[in-house]
Amino acid sequence: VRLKEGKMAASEAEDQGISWEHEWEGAARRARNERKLLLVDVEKDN
Amino acid sequence: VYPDSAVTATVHAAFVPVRLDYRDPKVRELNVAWLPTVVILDPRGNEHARHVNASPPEDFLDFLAVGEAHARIKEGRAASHARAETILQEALDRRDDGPFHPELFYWLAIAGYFRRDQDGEYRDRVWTELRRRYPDSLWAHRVPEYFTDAASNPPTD
Repeated sequence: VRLKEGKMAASEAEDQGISWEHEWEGAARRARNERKLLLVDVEKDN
Repeated sequence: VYPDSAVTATVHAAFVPVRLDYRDPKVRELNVAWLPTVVILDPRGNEHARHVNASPPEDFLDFLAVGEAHARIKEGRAASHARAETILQEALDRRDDGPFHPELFYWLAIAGYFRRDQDGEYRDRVWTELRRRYPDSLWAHRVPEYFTDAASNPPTD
C-alpha cells in the first residue's frame, strides 16, 4: 500500500514497531496511569 | 511512517498508541472526516493536534512535537512549559526546514513566553523570526494584532 516513495499507509506498518492498543477504554486508562497522551490512529480495518 | 525508528521511539516515549476502526463508537466523538486520521488527545479527552492522511516520517515527527508541546503548554506548570519549549526547539533543530516549521515557531514563541514568566520580548522575537522566514504561512498570519513586528530590533542571524 505504498503511496509513493517515503510515504506509507499506516495499515502497512501494523506489527512493524509500534504496539497498538485496539480498545479505547484500556488505552485511555493506560494513558491516565502512565501520564501519557493518546495517539489515536483511525483507519479502515480490512 | 510507523516502522521508522525515530517515530516508534517518540511514540512509545510520550504516547499510548491506539488504533481504532472508523466504525468504532468512540470514533464518532472524534469527528473524523477522512482516513487515515491521527488525533492526539490528553487523558481527559481534549484534542491537541490532528493529522490527516499519510506523511513522511520527518513530518510526522514534527506533528507529534506540535501535539505534545500543545498539551504541555495547556498543563500550565513551569516544568510543562519548559518541556514544551524543549520539544519544539529540538524539532526545529532536527532539520533546516519543513512544512511544520511555521507552526513549530508559533508555539515555540508561546512556550518560551510562559517559561520565561510571560516574557513578551522573547515571544515577539520568535514571532518576528516566523514572519521573516515564512511571511506567507498560515501561522505568520495567526500572529495576533497586538504583536508589533520588531522591525526596529530585527534578528541578527
